[in-house]
Amino acid sequence: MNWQTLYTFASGWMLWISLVLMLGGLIYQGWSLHALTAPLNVKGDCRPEGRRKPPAAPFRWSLGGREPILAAVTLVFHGTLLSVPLFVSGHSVLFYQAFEVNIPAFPGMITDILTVTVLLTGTVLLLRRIVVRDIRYLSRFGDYGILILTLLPFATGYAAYHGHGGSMSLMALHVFSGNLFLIALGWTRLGHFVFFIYNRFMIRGEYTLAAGSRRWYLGSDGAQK
Amino acid sequence: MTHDQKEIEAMLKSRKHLHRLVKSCLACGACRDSCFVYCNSGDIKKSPAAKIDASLGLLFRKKGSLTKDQVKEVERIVFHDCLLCRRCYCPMGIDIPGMIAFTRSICRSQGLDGRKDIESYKEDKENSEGGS
Repeated sequence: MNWQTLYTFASGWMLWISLVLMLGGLIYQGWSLHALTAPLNVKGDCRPEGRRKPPAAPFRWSLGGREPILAAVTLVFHGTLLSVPLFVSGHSVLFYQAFEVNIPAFPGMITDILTVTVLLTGTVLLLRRIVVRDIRYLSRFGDYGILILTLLPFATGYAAYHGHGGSMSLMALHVFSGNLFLIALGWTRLGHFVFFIYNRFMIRGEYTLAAGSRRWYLGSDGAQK
Repeated sequence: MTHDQKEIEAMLKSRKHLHRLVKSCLACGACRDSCFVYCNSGDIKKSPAAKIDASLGLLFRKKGSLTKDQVKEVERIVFHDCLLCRRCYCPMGIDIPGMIAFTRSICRSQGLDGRKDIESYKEDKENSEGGS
């Protein structure tokens, strides 16, 4: 299989398969999570959070209060990670060619800056896993793998855009690694944004960022579901 | 006392979605500083993420078929290294104390409630004081 064939396959059929797998995985993960929760104010639930929202935990208990540099790096990493693929001009052109729908795009210079930011902040998170003893102890092989898989489409995309190496080979690798990322998004802990939104907004508790309408039900207490 | 593996398997099976919750831990380590047991010891094995991985995570990975020593270790973790104070902070909002509580239920179903460890600790202390 040459690079052109790989590019055609990865930007055609494979993309649709990847999108279906991603959506299927995210729905499954979301459903699994939902099954571990129950509505508030159910019979037998005598805990106070069933009646009123507990007072919010102070900011100094959160990641921003405990490790502000890590919180800032994480915030920038995720913000740029989400915005670059959505608003890069190359993707916008491909989207127009496929569906004749215009989506706004960043200028090339902004895209370059944001891509380098993703790569730098991602590298900081990867180095933290390698260098910090405690985090290294907690990390498994997959934790390094998903971080590298996340950075790969950005590194190959940046190199291909600037014409480093064989352009077609880099483009093929860029699209292929992007597809792998989409599949991993559905079926690995890369889909943690589902958990973040559900757990931090839907489930009532002192760390909840909204009022919350559900509670955990892990089966360890006597409350009925 | 030997543990009833089938009962452990049945309990894990009844809450199989918990495995998804265990696996959703990003191992970011943000929870460690919120746990005073970790802060007091400085031992990463006593951080919330490590405790979940070595207790409920191990039970799911081994599908409940743990050796006697492993079950005792799980009992020690969930009864002595965690006080269920619910102070653990997870950026993803994972219910760490809920999972520890569930693991305690599994231990209790096997007649393990952490008390024997306290008795053996007292005996060890008495022996060491008597010997000195």
